[in-house]
Amino acid sequence: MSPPRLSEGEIAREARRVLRKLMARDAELAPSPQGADYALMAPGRNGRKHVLRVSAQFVETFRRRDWIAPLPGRPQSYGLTDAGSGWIRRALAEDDPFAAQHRIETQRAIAGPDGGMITLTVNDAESPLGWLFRRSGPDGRGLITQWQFQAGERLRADFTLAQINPRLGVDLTAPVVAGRRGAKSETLSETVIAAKQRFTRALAAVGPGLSDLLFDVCCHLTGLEAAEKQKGWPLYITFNILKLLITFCMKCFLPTKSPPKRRQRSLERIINHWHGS
Amino acid sequence: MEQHIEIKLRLSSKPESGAPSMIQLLVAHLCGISIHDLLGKRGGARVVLARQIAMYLMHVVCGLNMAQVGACFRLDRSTASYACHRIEDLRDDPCFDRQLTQLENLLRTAGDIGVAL
Repeated sequence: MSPPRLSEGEIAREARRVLRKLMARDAELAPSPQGADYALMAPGRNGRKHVLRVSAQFVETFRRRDWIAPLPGRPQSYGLTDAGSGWIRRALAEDDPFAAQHRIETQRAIAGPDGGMITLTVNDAESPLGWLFRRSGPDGRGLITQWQFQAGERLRADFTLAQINPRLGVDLTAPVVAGRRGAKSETLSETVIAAKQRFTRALAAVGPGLSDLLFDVCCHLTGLEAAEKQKGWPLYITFNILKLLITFCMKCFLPTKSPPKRRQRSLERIINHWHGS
Repeated sequence: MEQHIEIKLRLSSKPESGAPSMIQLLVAHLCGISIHDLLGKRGGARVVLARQIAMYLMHVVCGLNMAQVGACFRLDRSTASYACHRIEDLRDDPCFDRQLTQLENLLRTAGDIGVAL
């Protein structure tokens, strides 16, 4: 006797119940020790915990829809696929499901043009730092602190403000005829120049060998995996180094006490340069 | 008399495990050599200098003694001691000193945020 055919409504209701729990880290659908059903196992406070029971018929339906797939190394157990996680994110969204699938929307208060505070909806998933800040680590807190997140965002703000990202179109302000090409430098306001100075100082403090990691992750929004692959470091080391760099470069945003000393140092560098050549 | 407060920083891997710690990976990257060369027993002048810098930083920043520093590289404590003395001598060069001070300051920040080196 074949089991009764499942309706779309039933499948969607069961999928909402099961896939939502399956989104947790290390959660999996394992064959139940008693009977032919499946048990959803998730990491609890002390070891793995049985969360809920799922009938084999639904598990087979989910597998056929590509929402779950056998885990590598354990063909009996199932984990959530990208398609499944996309479906449940869309199903849980209140409005605009496809946008909600890729965004982490939060409210943030920023200073408005008239000096008051205004509240804006921002997407924290656009930068890897936002993702790290929202994602909770093993101790339940974010992987980076709010202070570190704001430090990275501030570096990006200065990068954007300094207008040093590559131009993607034709520069129509540049004169067509040959001659003095000074139009660009004259249009830079003091805000832009100050941002550029802060940005350069922050990267210079970190040093030439490591500033590229900071630059890629904070300004070009490269994921940590890409940075890890490029450097050949283990992921947790890359992550710790990034935390270290952000903390260190934030110290450079603090106002300096002794400008004359800096002039002296640059003079010293020139003299060294002369001696070198 | 100036008082120095010694802050001991943890290493990100145990010396006996043989896995490279973060400080070793960083020095290898900054000196432009591979981590295998850094943890090996031989190499050219560049590799040797990088190894000595790593040993010196582990002694100065992490507060390890010579025997512990040597154990991280599977070398004798006298080798570690020689490395630290050599780097101290090289710090007479202001350019080298500036670079090393910058790296030291960066690594010391790890103590503030609780990151293992």
